[in-house]
Amino acid sequence: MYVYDDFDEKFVRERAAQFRDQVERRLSGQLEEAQFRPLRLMNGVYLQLHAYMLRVAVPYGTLSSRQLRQLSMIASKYDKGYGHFTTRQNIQFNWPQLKDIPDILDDLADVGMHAIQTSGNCIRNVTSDQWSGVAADEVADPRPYAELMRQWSSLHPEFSYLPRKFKIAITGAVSDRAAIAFHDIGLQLLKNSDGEIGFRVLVGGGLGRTPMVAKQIRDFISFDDLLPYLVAILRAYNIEGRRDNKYKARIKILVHEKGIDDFRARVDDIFEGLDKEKLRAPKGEIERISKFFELPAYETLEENSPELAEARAANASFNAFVNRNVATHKKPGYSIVNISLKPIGGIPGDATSSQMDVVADLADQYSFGEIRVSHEQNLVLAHVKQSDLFTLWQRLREAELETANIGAITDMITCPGLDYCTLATARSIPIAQKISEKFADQSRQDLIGDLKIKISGCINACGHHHAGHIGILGLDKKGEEYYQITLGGSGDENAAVGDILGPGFSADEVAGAVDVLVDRYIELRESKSESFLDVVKRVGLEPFKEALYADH
Amino acid sequence: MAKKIKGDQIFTGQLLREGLVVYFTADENWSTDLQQAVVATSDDELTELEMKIESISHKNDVIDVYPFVVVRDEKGKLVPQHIRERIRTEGPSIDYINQPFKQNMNAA
Ligand code: SF4
Repeated sequence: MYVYDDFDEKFVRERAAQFRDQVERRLSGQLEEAQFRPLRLMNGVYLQLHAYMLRVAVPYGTLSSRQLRQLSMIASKYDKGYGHFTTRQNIQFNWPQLKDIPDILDDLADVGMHAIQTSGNCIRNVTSDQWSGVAADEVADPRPYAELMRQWSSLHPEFSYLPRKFKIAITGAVSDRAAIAFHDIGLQLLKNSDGEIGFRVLVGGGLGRTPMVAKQIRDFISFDDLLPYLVAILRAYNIEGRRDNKYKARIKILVHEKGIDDFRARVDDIFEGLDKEKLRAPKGEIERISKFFELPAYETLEENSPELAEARAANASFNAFVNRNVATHKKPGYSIVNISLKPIGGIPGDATSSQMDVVADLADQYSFGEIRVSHEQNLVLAHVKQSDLFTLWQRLREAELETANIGAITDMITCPGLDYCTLATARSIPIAQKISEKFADQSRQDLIGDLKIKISGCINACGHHHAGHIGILGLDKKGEEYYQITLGGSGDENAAVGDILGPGFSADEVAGAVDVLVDRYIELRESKSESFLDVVKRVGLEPFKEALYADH
Repeated sequence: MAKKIKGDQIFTGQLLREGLVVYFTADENWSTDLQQAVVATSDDELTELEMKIESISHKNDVIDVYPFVVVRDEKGKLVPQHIRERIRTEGPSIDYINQPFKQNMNAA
């Protein structure tokens, strides 16, 4: 795990001290709200429906057990005993009081964390694959590059006031678990024929009001040219991105309006004119950073421990957990354990302080003290010995963290919606809860197979509904919540934006509508291996529309 | 400028220090209890309230002030007309307090 150097440490401490002073001046009335608001937003402090909300960055979704324990402490000392993990791999606290936030920022700084650039029109937290470093299908670990970009983008003088926020995601694997095609810039690590590391670069992806799948701007850029090339893209955007209309200000609009070929030419033009040498990472820097991400000292083990096979045979619930939540690790005898934060009927992405403490302890005991956060709002222990899986599962069960549903229909991405969010037009969490309860039966979930439902409480699409196999968008119709359903979206390497099925549904009808769609899928599929998305691609929307609107 | 009134309205805001939702009361104060709110029933009353809020000395204590429409339920209690304000008044509609494995916690 990356550990702050003196520069980072000093910078984060200074920012916390500055914010303490700003809060004091605000509370005493020296600063007015209009002056203070941008300052608090620069430190991740939003005002939500019931209280302030503090968004803390979890760089590329990696946490140490010490950091997670500190987040747990913050949740219980200053908040209501829980935190919410977001689709940007961050954590949000829903109830901090302004007067306490300076103390919280100091507590975060104690463990090398902060809330800087979690808001505003700057480069936000760089997100990544939650299985980085250990995925069986990985070319290289993306986290050293994500860390490099974190350092490069932190308080970048040229890019601190962009037309709009800017999100970068990076993956090192063939399977895209970081939804890179729905980011302003998406990077995929590749090796060229000489074995040299480089990046495929996508640009102009995004969700929200105008969903767009990113377009490829470069099929390969070498590591040396990565930062200069990012500068060229961001400079083109900074100069030409629209500032007159907030809804047209993201880079996706610029790329769309110019066309990718023109945009590429513009970027290349800027790129050629750059003093690249100056903009490159200092020599040896990536090697220095990479040392922090070296894989732990694994034991030499046999794949498929006999203990594991025995426990699976003896315990059906554990077997279901292994089938759903445990993934292949690149090291024999080890596994990746995905911890679902989507208990049946629970609040997607929430973890209580006690649960965070348990996960931190389990990470120390079984996974080299490291935890990952996924953009699908779950947690990951990335280095668990297969022979420890059964004990680990028992401990998870005691903490009510054993839900065996990763990738299944009840593992929904869900934004906070109208239960917390000032921008919301409808609630999302209760919809997720109803769907979750409807599909609670494990054997039915197994029968359905992988199916991703994603729910947003407004057009801003923090719940990635456009990328859901089934997407649900909450809207307001004359003061009543209603929900639009889309089909066929996907956030992986075959990224696609879902299509709207037809008229919306009331809050009480949504779960039933999903039920109808799922039944129709089961009828239509040619075999169990034909996924929901495959069926939608093969038959189109019509059979689903018929099933759904037959009675209307 | 007087707005066209859409119905009975009250003013809400959030406490600067704590962030809690409050309502403007008849005694020119802020209360977390919606029932204490002073109700404007006409354009003129709404403008008057707005000016009063602007002029009070503890103006700085409350942020994000705006009016919204209320109705009365069958018992005569004030109820926000729109679901957004109902949720703001009552808190999240989900059981965020009793989430799994929280028995060891002292929730604030
Ligand atoms: S999608 Fe809308 S409702 Fe949901 S968190 Fe984002 S802004 Fe809020």
